Amino acid sequence: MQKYEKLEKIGEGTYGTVFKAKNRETLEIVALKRVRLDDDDEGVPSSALREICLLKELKHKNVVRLHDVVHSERKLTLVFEYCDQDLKKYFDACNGEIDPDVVKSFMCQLLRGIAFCHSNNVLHRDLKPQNLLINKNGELKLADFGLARAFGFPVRFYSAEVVTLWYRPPDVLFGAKMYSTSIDMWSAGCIFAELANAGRPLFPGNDDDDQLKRIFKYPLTLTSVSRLLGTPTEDSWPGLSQLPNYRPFPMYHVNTTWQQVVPKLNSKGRDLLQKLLVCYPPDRLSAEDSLQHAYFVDASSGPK
Amino acid sequence: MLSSNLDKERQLWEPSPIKLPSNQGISEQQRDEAAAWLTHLAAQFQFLPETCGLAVLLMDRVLLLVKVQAKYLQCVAVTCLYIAAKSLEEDENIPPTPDFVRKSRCGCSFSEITRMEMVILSKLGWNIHLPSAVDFLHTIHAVLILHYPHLLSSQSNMSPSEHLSAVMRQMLRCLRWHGLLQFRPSTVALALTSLELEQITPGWLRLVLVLQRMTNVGSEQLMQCREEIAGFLGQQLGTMHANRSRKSSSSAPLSKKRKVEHSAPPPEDENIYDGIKRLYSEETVCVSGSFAAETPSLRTSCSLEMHQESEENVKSQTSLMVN
Repeated sequence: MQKYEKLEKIGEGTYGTVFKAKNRETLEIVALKRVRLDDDDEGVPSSALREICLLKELKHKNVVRLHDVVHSERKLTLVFEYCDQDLKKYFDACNGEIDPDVVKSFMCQLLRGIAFCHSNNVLHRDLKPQNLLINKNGELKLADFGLARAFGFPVRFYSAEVVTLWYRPPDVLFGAKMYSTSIDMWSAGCIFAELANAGRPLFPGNDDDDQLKRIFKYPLTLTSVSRLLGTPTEDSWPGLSQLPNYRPFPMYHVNTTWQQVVPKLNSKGRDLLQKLLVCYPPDRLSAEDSLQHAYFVDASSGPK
Repeated sequence: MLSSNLDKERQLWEPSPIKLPSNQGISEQQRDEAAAWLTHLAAQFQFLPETCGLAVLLMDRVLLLVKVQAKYLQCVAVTCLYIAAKSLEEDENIPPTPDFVRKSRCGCSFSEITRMEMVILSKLGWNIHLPSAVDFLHTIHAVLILHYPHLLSSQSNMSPSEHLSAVMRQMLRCLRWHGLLQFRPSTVALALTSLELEQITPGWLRLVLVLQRMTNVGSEQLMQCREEIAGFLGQQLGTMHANRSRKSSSSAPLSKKRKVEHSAPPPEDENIYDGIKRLYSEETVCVSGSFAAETPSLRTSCSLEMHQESEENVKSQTSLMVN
């Protein structure tokens, strides 16, 4: 670890402290994530193990780069590329104003990162502003793969204890354990709306119930056959009532329009958002298809 | 998915010599015993077949890379299982570590396992997401069922999941046979599939040819591997019958040096397939939902894969040459 000079503490990650540091030889600035290994503990934490193994294989402009893993006595240090801030901090500093071109650029990069992960059979499962890093060139990168996993085929049962509440899709909120790439696409939709509203979260629920209520009060498209209804039913979502934690919700009266929800987003952007925030998972737009959406047609959208 | 796994296999897989390196302190028989023990442990912990496949694959990699003394073999094996579980199972399915150590009856302490874990991970350069024969079997089976939905019609009402379970049982047996280490995992999976197809359909040869093109497995390799598997499974069947008549357990998987007694008989193979059953149990939901929706794209991607195959091959070869 002599190779790096520690500069300052940046924060606490899921399983360790993160420092800003400088490579003494190359003078490159890096982020060090330190994982303590206690003999009587679980060894290498499974989240760290998965993050390292997955990131070793995922090399993409919009995925944070893992440079190195250093093992020393009772300690494991992950050396990442350094990014100045995360999207959450960016929101805090933007004074309620984000340029529409920046929104489009960030969204495009987010979708590229997700598309890359999905094409490599990796689900992120914890997309949220805190886990999206932004460097000073305006490049956005997916980070924190502690909950991520490689997905097999056919889809199988996974944990329902994934994704931070506000970005968790309704199927997972109902306890669905058979999900696939669509799980990340709901989160992407929530982040899109939050970007368009300069950092105001779309569904800031307090608990599972509150989260679902907030979702169902929106004019969501339930299936690709466009039906604007508040609460989904077995008709609009086949198999809904068989989900492990399914419970009926009242039919909420929808009195908002997408125009009111994301006033600063243009009509193409609203169309994309609606296609991401679809309750019935198989009808949610994929990352690959989202990138082909008309919203990105004039895509001078950020670095390729 | 098939193509990306094949790609990875091309990059990461090295053939294992038929004999373990001569400086290796582990005999082939000891390796097979350890592999058998791992398949039993995986079943006992109700891990997925993929986890078991990866654990054995990791163990074989370690034996290839490092000289292991026989007395450490169990520790290596159980640590590989632990690594595979942490990487593939959901956290709620991984037993708490003290339980893992106790129930595995591996005879080593937890700190020995954690130390071994670091050694193995760094020896393997943290490249542990290797596609195993179990993964390939899964994908190949899914491709078959999607393209030839009537394939199982001769199998008196056997559902795809039951059929996969049956073949998977054979696959897990194959993991215990060092004779298959000379073949790529994809070849092992295809060879086993072809043996199975031969049993259930007269048109098996045509199907195998299609799969061969998809997986780029050469005929000679495939034939050799088929013979090896057929010989081994046949012989196993023989031993099992013999053992059954003698009423002794066919599986005394542990190395004799470290006597760790199995008080409970190894659980029946059937338990292993809970994962698979779970996998297909919601078939109805699945078919009406995401599964059906994904079918068309999968079809196209399969045919695409065949085209891309040759290209990728060239690419990976060039990259090898560059390296």
